[in-house]
Amino acid sequence: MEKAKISSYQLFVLMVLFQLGSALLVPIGMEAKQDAWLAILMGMTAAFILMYIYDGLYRYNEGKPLTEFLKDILGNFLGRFVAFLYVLYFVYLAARVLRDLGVALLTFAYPFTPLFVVNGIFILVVIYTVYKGVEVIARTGELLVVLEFLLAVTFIILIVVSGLIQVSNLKPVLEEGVLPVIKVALKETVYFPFGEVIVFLMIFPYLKQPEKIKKVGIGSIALSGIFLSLFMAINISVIGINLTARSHYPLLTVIQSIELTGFLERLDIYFLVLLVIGMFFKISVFAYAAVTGAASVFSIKKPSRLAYPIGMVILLLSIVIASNYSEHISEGVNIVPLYIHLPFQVIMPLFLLVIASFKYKKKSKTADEK
Amino acid sequence: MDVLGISVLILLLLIGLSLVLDLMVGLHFRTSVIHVFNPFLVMEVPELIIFFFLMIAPFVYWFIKKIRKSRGQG
Amino acid sequence: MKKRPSIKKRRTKNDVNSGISSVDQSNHESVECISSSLSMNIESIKKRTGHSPDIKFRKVDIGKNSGMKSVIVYVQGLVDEITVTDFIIESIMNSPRFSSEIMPQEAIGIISEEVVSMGGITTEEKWDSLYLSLLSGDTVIFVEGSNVALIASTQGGETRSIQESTTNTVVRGPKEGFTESITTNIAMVRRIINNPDLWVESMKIGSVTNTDVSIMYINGIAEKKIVGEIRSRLKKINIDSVLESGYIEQLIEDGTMTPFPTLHNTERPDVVAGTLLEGSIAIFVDGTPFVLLGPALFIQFFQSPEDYYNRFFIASATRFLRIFVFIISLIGPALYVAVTTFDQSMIPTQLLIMIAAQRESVPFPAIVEALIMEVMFEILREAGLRMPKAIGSTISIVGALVIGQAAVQAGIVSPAMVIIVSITAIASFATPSYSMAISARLLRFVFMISAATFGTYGIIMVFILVLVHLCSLRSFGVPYMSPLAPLIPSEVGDTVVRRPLSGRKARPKLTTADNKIREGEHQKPQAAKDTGMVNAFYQKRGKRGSK
Repeated sequence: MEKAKISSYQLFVLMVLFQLGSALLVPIGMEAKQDAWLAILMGMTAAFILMYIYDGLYRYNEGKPLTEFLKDILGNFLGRFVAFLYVLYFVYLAARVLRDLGVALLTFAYPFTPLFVVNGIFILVVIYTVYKGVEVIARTGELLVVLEFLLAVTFIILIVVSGLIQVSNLKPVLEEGVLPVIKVALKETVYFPFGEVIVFLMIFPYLKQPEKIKKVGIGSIALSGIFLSLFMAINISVIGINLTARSHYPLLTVIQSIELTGFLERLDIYFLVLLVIGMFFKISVFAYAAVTGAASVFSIKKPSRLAYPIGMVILLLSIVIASNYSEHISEGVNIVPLYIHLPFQVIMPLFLLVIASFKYKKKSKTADEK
Repeated sequence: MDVLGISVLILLLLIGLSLVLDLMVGLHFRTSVIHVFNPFLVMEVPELIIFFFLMIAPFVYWFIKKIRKSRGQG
Repeated sequence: MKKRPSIKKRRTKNDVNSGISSVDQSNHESVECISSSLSMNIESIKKRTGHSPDIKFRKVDIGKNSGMKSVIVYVQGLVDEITVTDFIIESIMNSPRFSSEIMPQEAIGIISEEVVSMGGITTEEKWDSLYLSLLSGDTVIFVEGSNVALIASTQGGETRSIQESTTNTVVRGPKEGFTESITTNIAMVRRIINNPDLWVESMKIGSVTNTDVSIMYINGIAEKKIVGEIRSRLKKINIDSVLESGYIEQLIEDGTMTPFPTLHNTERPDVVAGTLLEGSIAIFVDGTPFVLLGPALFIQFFQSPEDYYNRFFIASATRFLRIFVFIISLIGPALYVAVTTFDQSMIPTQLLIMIAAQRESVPFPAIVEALIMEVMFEILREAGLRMPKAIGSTISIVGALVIGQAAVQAGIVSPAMVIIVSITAIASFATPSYSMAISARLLRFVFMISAATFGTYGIIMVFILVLVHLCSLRSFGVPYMSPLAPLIPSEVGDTVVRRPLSGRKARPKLTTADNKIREGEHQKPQAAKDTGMVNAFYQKRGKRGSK
């Protein structure tokens, strides 16, 4: 662990940027049709519970990152093994996000640039950031959140002013009852993007005021949930559910439909900036977690040495992860949530929490007897 | 060197994972293996140059550092 | 003519030096103390200085008829000759205090205490420190038979007078700028901050040049740890020469691998005073009007002293403008290149058609066009700086013709490009700090190349990279981007905007020690509650009118 401290505001900003990162741009919860925004809100509520679990887990092991306290809970060997699985999980997610980004850039702006080069440029910046450590990531977040916020607010203003919103597109609400929406929430939206905050178990130890973790976590999930839900509602109400579900990047379609006073048009750059900033923080946090995690699993003293090689692993993996985009998406929608997110985000933390609570009880008992 | 070993280990395991996922999507084993190497086979010259540069850069850096160190001692 | 530092101060100064001057002790053999023979002393000085003719020896009889002899040594041009003749030579020659009974040892005491009527006078036995004083403009007095010499501070000679600063000009505010003399500079700041807590420490740096370097801070406001850090970094310097404060800046900054300056420099005493009050430490170097200020934050390079003299609406607007303009000067040409080569879809159609029509006759891709114009402009700027002033107007005429009209008519560049380059050029002069403007000048090319290879995506990536880099910088341990990142809400009021002075309650947290309060309660200006004095007049008039 490096010697660094981040404030609760910095953590909050980082978590919000992390969750908004890619979720703002891709369609999520589309099986709930025009109630997708409700599905996001429900997923957010379910994510509160996850946040409670993560917070409880951290409480038992204050001051230690995930990969360290796994050794305490499960013993040295098994703990290292599970920690390594988590490192693999983080690297894999980083690679997925990087692939998302590269493909998005190629499809909407740079059809003649090779994927490898686009991803390579991006990962070089990420490597530099990870090399500089968590404090720098947090500070950069503080600066760029202002930009992201300004963009979001002007976007909403532009949409409202240009009169594109048709609320009728959102109706009927809960056409088939509340059950299908809950199903989508539990199947999809809770894991992506909210459940992914489990990666912050690697960053919590740097917080100056550890008692604020629960507050910050819940707050950030709530804020980003409301934002995502709002944007999804705007998407659906502007271009309709059919187009939203079919489009790879509904937000881009919406932005492209803005046209004001004959001059404010073609605001693709909005989408580009949102895309790059959001993805940047998502990949940086994953990569940082992977680097520090790998360093702790293999007892390497200077984690920053791992930044470049793991960055390269993420780059290569983002290329070979799927041969084409439809394969990538179908894996992302059908397999990853159930077989990868669910065990790593819910089952394993719950299991750990149970073991930790037993261990902790025993410890406190023996302490009492003494 | 330990760092290199760790990275290769992670890379191989995760390529394995992506193969498993390919199988789960319903592809044949053969096609999914081909898919893994395909992106590198279709690279163009500038891409290849960047690829090799990125892969070799740390070794060059490490080598220069080593030479400097030995010079500093000698 | 100025009174020089007192005896006490001079001693501490020499203590500081002992560590540094020990370096060159090995170079020559005369480490011993001075001898009691006049002729031997003269000989060894002559030998050591290579018989340089500007070192003057003046043989003087002490008193009218004591029979003792003395020699007065000084360097011509470094000393104030009137002081030497009036207060030293004449008083020694004409003093009635001396008789033949007085021993040489006593004579030294008498001269320093009763005869020479001057501010700073000390005794010295060692050659090393004697040379230091002699060559910095002091006068040395040897007395026959005594192995102790007297040193009278007579520094003076020709220096540039105080003039208006040329690099940081303001419309409103004090006009005076620093000069090359360190003592004058320190005094100029003292004249602004009349407080005993304004502390100065001095040392000599440079094993050959022995340059005077002083640090100045306000005790109780400056953070002690930062003062200690700066002091120890200065002490660590072991270099032959310090010719300008840039030498010191490059040797004590936190890291060299950055295009951004991590120490501020200024020519204005009011800027030094203002930053000292915020807990910074000033480093004065003899021989240059540029004073270093540290720790420096990114935002400080966009602050002009005038921001605080003007009312806050205007100050905030100009501050905001400066930051905006800095970003333009960074990415202006890069955006043009990106938009015309890659992202045509990102600009409104009509504008696109107009630009495309202009570029139709241009034979180069946009990046080559931009590089030609930017490099041309850099050449003009560099040439304009270096050439004699008399032919200055020539280059501006030639430059205007080449860059403007002719280049467009020849079809080498498009008119839009000329506009972009001119805006960028003007923008780069709007940054108050020259050192920050230079770094933007350099980064502009990085942005242009990335824009030419990856379009807007490249610009955004380089922008993020620069931002990450800025966030990773520290100046003497203080995060470079504070108070924006890490965010300190109470201090954001003096960054992109400047809040009214009545709201500025505290000093910056990160750089100040105990004394944090800047102003008392209820400083906000208020309208007079009783408007009687004016209304009475109107009421009277009203009554008269009704009559």
